[in-house]
Amino acid sequence: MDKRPHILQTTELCVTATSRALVRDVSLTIAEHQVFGLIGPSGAGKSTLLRALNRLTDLVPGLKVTGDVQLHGQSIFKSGMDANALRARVGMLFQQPVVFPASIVDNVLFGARRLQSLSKSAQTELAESALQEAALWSEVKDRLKTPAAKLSVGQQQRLCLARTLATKPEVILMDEPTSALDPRSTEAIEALIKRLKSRHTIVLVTHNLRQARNVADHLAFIGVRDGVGQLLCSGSVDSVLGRTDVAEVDEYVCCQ
Amino acid sequence: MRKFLDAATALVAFACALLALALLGGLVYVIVQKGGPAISWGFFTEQIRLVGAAGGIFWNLIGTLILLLTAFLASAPIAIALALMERVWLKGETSRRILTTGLYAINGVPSIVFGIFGFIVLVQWCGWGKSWLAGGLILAMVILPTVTVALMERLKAIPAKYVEAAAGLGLSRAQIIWAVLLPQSWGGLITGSLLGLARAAGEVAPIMFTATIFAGATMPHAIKESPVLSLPYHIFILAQDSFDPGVGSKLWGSALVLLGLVFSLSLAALPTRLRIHEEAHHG
Repeated sequence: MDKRPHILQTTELCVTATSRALVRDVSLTIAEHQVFGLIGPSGAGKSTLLRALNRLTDLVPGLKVTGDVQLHGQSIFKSGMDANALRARVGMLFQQPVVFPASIVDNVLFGARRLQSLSKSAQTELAESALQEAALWSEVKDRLKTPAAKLSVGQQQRLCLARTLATKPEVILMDEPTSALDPRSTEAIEALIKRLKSRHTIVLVTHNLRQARNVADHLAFIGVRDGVGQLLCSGSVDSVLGRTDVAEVDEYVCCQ
Repeated sequence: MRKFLDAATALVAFACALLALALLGGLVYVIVQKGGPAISWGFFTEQIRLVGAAGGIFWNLIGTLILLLTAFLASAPIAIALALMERVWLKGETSRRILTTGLYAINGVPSIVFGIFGFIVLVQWCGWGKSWLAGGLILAMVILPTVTVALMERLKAIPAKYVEAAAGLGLSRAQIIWAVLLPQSWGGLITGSLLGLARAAGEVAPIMFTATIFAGATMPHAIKESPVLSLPYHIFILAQDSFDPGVGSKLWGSALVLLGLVFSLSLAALPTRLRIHEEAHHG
């Protein structure tokens, strides 16, 4: 068992859409400073589960979340919990990079400058450190004012990562962050994920077993049973991928 | 037989399109031919003399511009608030439908009814008398549905991923409105306003009892009893009352200027309309 303190814990977490359950009874513990991988077939509700961890599910009309998620032992659903402040602590990187129609530097500071009052010099510093941390600084330092849309898709995804890092999150949720990227950009993001865990905790949804083996410390397999996504097993990477006794895992591993 | 039907359908469609273009062309041709000779530098810079038979339309043009600017400034904040309400706060399909139905109902109200409403409420009840502000506010009501619906369309076209990304960074709803929704919807506000104003520019009914007189007004300096001159009312009076043949060319000239104003407002809206159309269809 992992001895590091837990940062996130879910208890019997269920997400229900108006007509049907999407994920049911997911109980997980996620330790600090590790990469926690969520794998499983498409449609099993991995992304939905991920969005419940910082209450982005609130934004979707008709979605209902039951059970509990605790961040540092505190329920994120308790009354008085500010969902916006929560999302700044538990940041998100999406499948497709979403850059705002603004310059590179404005994109990096998009959240940070609105969440805290920063002096001009603090903004410049923060933009540089976030871009450094996302391994994009050397590529964009001479053109910070150019529109972010001019960057390649791989660069845009690292820009989105820098934007999330600038709000100083403890946890970063990543929803298949490399599925839209070419192999080289994928490699860059994977190297980053490994580096980022020294200061952040990362929950990574991935489709890619190679990626899971490469970057994850811990895995949870979300499979579909009775038409609902459920946690079928979790543990170290090798133990989960070796669970040939779980038919869904066996099938998933074989097919890749 | 099928080929014949196909050809016949195309023929009818082309004929109708041609008819529409011919109507537009004919209208423009007649007005340019009759009004063209009246157009000169002085026509724009001089004021009316001899009950419209001489001089120019300077204060009519200024008056119309004042009314349009007032209508724009008064309708824009309300349109923004309504469109944001529809996009951000109204959750149920029913409440949204009530709002849009209400807007379409306002759009269907005959402009003379707006005029009477303004006369009773602003001119008489508020005691403003004929005032540029009364006319501007009534015109704002006339264009409000157009502006609001254009803004709603624009807001709807903003991809949800931007809102999700901003929320994912921890921005509150108000911050998302200011940082994401409004900056990306100015185009809709401008387009809607220009189209609305293009319609409002030519309206006589909303302003004839509330804001405009035929002669003797210049720049308004107050709200009460401060009417303006205007182009459509000028045309209305000249066409109705004047038997002086000298007035004829001035009348057509005024119509030409009004037509030019309306066309330029519509044309100014075109680039943003095309761009929004393109974005909506190509991601």
